[in-house]
Amino acid sequence: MLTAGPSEDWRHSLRAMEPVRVVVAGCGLVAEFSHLPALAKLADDVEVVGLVDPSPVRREICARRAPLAATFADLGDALAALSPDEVVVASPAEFHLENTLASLGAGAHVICEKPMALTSAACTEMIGAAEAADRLLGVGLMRRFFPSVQAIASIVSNGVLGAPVSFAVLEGVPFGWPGKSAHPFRRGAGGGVLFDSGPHLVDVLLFWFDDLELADYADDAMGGVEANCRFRLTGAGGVTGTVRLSRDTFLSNRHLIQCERGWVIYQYDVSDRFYWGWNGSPTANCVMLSEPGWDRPMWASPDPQLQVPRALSAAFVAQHRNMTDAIRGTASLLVSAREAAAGIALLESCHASRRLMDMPWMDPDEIARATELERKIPA
Amino acid sequence: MKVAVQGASGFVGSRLIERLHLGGMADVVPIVRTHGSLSRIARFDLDWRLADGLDGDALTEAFKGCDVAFLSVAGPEPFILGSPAATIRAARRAGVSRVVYLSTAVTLGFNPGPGTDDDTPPVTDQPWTYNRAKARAENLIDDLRHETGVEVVVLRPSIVYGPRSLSWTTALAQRLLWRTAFVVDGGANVCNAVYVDNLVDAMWLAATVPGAANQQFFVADRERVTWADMYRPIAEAVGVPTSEIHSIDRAEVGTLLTPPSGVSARISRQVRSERARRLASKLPDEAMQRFRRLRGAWRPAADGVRPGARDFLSTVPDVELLVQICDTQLPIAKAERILGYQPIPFAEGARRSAAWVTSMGFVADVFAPG
Repeated sequence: MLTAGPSEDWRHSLRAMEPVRVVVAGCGLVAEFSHLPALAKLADDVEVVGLVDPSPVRREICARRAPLAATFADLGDALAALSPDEVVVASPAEFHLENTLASLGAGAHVICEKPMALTSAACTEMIGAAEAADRLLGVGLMRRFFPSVQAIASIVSNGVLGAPVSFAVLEGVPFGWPGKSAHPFRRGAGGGVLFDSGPHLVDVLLFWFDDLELADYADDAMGGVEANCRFRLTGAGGVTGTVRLSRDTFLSNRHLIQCERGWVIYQYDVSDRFYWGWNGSPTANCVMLSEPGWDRPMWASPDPQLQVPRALSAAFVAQHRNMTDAIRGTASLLVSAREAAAGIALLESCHASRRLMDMPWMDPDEIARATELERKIPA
Repeated sequence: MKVAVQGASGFVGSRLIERLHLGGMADVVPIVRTHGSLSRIARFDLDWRLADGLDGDALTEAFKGCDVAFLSVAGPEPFILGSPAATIRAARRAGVSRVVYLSTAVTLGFNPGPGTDDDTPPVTDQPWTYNRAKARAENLIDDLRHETGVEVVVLRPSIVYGPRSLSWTTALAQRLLWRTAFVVDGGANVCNAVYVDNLVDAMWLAATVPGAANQQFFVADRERVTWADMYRPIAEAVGVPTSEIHSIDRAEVGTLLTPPSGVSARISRQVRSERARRLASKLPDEAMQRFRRLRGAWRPAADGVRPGARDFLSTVPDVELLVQICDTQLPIAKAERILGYQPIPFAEGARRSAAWVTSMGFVADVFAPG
């Protein structure tokens, strides 16, 4: 089993105090501003030994955060030269499969950025390769590490507010990731809001609710990739849910779960609190979750545009701590590759059943043309 | 016709692209400053290009093959003053024959006097940075027309509303839901509203009508629209009664504005800031009382008003207050006569805006569950 029970062979091959030797594959912004600062926080336990990116500029920039790391243009060269214990796959989504298979093949454990892959078939291949190599495969779904997400899961599962009846998710912020490439906007490369924001969201929903299935999906891609989408889900016990994702406008950024006797609200990216109330009560209760360390700033970005919320930076640290502990055999991975793959399968089913969103603010002629363009998008 | 759109990711620019592309009216070349601005544009399979609005060489390259360039950008004062020159000179080098420049009606102030028309000169000594910068940019454009020989058409909309309008649609919905919506004088004052589709239609006419060359035009909906009219359909869409909208008198607005400059202004801004409020909340009760009196000194409460319910007014940006003190409906006769401008009715623009608000999930039950 690749997630819970690491085999004796390698669990004891890393001595307790020996740092886990990590290669970071992909020197984009998520590596520069999230993974490398998080790994630096675990410097007693983790050593970044290699950085890989085809761009010398990006390698040089990331090397400032890992000055002792060797740099490579090609992942194969890094794996051959360094034989790392772990590879962080932080390349564009279209390379996740290739980079993960190469790393597992070289005997490294892998933590792969989201989305795990662009298809279910690729996820299956990655999981099979991890099992065959007897190595861990983790996925960068770090919102699962938020105390708020964990606490809400407990509330939903133990039924204190009654069984969940419905949920409504509104997540939307104008796209502000100051990336240096057009990858987030290319069809076939994981572009579009669904495979950008969707993996995190779907992972949380699948964690909260059982047996979620897609009922209906629509988006606003008209020859390109969607900036907005909405879908409906159904789950065990008759729970129904609606999801609205946007990367062109601000939405309320709330996840409302309506239960038989009360409700819970998770505010997007707020890790240390949530809101709940009894149905019919005029009072909303804010629960502050205290866990030492969650509320402290981990690092300060020199670029105001890149001020990653503290919650996210802390979650990246927690995620890498979990991976390191799992490699040492003292913990299981909190987010398994199989769970991540289930999320990809759900997102894949969304795109497979795509139709054009209702856009009642547009002229009928525009809608007709938009529908025509939407139908030309390959599945 | 091939057209370049600078400011392609913005509210107006993105709708212009959508309308031209879906309407099959032109080959559109969106121009953005960074990859991060591509989300709206990437919904279509378009030949987008990267160029900074102040980089003449990059703009020249981006404009190649285009007949018309639209300049619809926002930004700080140096950008507002620098981008017309960079664009118009790049247009000349690239062989673009016409530039459509999106200015603003506030080049004539928030409350232009009676008799104001399209040919009234911009007011360049206004105290508000944005208004002043746009007014000066219009004057610079006049010089650039002569220098380059490029035809430039200037459009002056005021309150542009519609789907994706952050300031005049999204913000109204949010204010209603947060119970911080307000109108001045009961909402009876003039709102020179223009539905975004009316504006982009005017932009297209400005690009294509020969007689529009080197002219400037106000662009607005045809009806006399008030601020109460603006709020009503959004309030219905989000499910908040219009009785929840606060009303303040025109005379009170002056007390809510940020003092312009000087030591007094700096003290005022500090005392009124959110940071000061947070710090003060940790003070002992007696000190807190003193702090509240100090804040109150900078923002006198109006008679008959519950102070707590209207505390938010001290944080409302000046522009949101000032635009609501307008008595003059701007004329669109010149746009109708020369451009052939035929706006859709305000009621239809409001209906479409409300449909977008509903579609985006701005509804009261999400904010007040159970």
